[in-house]
Amino acid sequence: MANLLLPAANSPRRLLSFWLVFTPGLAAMIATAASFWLQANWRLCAVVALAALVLPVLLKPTLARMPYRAWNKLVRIFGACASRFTLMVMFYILIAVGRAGSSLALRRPDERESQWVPRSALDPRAFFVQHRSPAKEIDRSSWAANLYRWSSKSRNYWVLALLPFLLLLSALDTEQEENYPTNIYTLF
Amino acid sequence: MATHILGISAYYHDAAAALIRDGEIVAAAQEERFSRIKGDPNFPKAAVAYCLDEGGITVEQLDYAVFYEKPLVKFERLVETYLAYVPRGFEAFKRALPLWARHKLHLPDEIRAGFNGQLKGELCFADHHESHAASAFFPSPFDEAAILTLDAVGEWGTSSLGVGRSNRISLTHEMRFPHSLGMLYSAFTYYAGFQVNSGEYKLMGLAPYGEPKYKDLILEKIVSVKEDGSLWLDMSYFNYCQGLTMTSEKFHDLFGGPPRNPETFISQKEMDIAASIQRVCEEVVLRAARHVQATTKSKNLVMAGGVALNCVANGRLLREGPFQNIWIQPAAGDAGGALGAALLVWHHVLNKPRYRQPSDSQQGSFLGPSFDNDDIGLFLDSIGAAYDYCESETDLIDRVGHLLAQEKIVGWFHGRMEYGPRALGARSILGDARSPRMQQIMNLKIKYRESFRPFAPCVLKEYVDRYFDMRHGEDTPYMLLVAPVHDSLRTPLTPEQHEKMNDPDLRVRVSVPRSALPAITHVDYSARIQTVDEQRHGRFYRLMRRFYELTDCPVIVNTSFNIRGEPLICTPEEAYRCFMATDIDCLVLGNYVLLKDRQAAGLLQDAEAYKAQYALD
Repeated sequence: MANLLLPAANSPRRLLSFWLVFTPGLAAMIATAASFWLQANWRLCAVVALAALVLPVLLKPTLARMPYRAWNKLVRIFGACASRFTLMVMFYILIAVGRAGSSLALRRPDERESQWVPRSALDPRAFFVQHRSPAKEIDRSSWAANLYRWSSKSRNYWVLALLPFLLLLSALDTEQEENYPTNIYTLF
Repeated sequence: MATHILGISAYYHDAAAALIRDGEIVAAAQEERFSRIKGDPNFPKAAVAYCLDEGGITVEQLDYAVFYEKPLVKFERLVETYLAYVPRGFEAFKRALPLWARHKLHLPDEIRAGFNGQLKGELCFADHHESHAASAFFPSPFDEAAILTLDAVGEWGTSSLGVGRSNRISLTHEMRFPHSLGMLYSAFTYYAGFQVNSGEYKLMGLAPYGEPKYKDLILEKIVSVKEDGSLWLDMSYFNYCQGLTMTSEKFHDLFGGPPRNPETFISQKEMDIAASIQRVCEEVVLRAARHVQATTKSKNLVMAGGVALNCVANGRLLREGPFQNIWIQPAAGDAGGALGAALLVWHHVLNKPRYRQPSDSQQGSFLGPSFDNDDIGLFLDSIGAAYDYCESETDLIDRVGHLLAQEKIVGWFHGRMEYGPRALGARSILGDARSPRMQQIMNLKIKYRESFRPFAPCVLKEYVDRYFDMRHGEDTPYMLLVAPVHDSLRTPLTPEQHEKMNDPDLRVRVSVPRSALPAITHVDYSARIQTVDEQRHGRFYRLMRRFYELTDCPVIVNTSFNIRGEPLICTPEEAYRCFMATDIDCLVLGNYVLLKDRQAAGLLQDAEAYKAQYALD
């Protein structure tokens, strides 16, 4: 999605470039409609539509500012909708997996049962990875490969079901400011 | 060839960077001081640039960069939390997951991008609580010590304990999320109407006004505290795992109403709640400390993690706990994780020895940028400020000492900036602790707040036992302990003052003089103390010594050089701006002395515009 989102700084050259890329498709659509309704030659309609669309912007590139902004707005709306849909799918996966339980200890323990649990020191070889399992060599692989490796080492295989959606979410990045609550100790 | 290791904490809150060279701390700073955004969580670009500059190296010359926690283990905890609460929790989930998908799962790339792709050294990832533990033990003055880290949450751990010996730390046990002392305290901070993650110290300051009426209720219903200081939280009273608030409706029903709205009237109920949770917190800290002492048999304790900034609990631990010596990392919050992570790589990954310093190796926590007199002079000339330049330090401290003795308020800017949340005498506003009007003036005309908390005192280390209930020569150089003001200094209340102590307005109550040092004495006769010694504090010590010679009082008020919501000032420009926007009488920048009444009217800053730059904390 980041590839489809255009930079905010819309200089005349950028506006013109955008319009020149954008207009052939638009002209083709107009030509198709016109040739259908007017029974005219499609090529002629296309040439006329293209000229009518391109010439004014060639003379005054700022005319393309509104469609330029509209494009970005549409991309953002699409990104937000697609993100939300993807998140819902992921959440349904969690609901399904959650039926098997979680490792969070929520049940009230025996009154005398200590809540200190033993832990071990981090192996020096584990400093070179993002999880706690010692690695033979320094991990330089992609984030998806890292996630895969962690899920197998920590036996969270089910997380692999989220991987395609995480990839999709990361691709749907619309660089929009997220609204995080300020008066909560966010856990992320 | 020296080995350079850069520690980084970021992407959560209070990002920071710390550089060590062959195991010695070269520089450390929080990003907020440069970006001017309080608790800035973004990659600490400016702090990194400063650290490298201080070390005289480039990014390419770094041997290691180390991040202070394990992102994928944290992701595991996050996902497990959602699994535990589904189908509830979508609101929290939909905010967290995109952030992880777009940024936090790509942390190595994000960090390398933060270095502009120039990092040639290895990128490492430490463990959150080991980073805290390392930041507490390795700079401490002890060869061996018990370790206690008390936090909100790292990856899975919320607290940990263990032992440090020579160049090794070993955390043997931890408490696991969601059972967390830090979270518990933050939940009550939220309920009392203060900002989570920054208002905890206000809740602590509010506690002396209340009675711990709810303590038993908290222990009976909300938290089960074990004899060994571990705890279990009844999560039905909280909402932070699955919702967008800290506390649940059940919690609100238990305490008879919804959370207080921020910036509204603070009632006796909030004060009692503050007193109650503070008492619970102290109980947990004491029990955990006794447990770790019994396990390790050590006479020394080191601490870190956000809860270790609770100086009231620390004071009780020192007075009532089983340890002879306690050392607490001054940057105890996540910012300190940057330093700990760097030290971990040096000692644990590279297996290098540790050379202990007799006091400590934190260097007074003066690890940030400094500005020499030439830089300051150039700046002052460029804006046409009126100043006097004192050639000798003796002249300077004599002049400033006299100003303080005349109840003038002094902005004091000298040497390297502090690492950690406290101003310790490098970027401080100073005043006469004996003055009954000092507290009110400092609060309303300088800090621009209506505070119910008194200011913190600095005391010459050699006189600490004369003024406070502490042992002779006892060290608390990082302002992390609260101790009672000495009996001999306390003043009995008149009937009229007793009446005032029932006033619902806390400002009236805090204005009642409680001792010969009214500006720094809380309503329960306690004070948050910083001892000042010549070795650590140099010129600041000599200034206080001069003030003592002039007044026979070795105590002054020390508060951070900033206004409410503003990060501690870093540069001479920021110091001058704050000086000109507030009622500070005198500004000392290195060897330059500036008096407010000699500054051109055109240089005065609009106080309202200045305040508007910073969100209330």
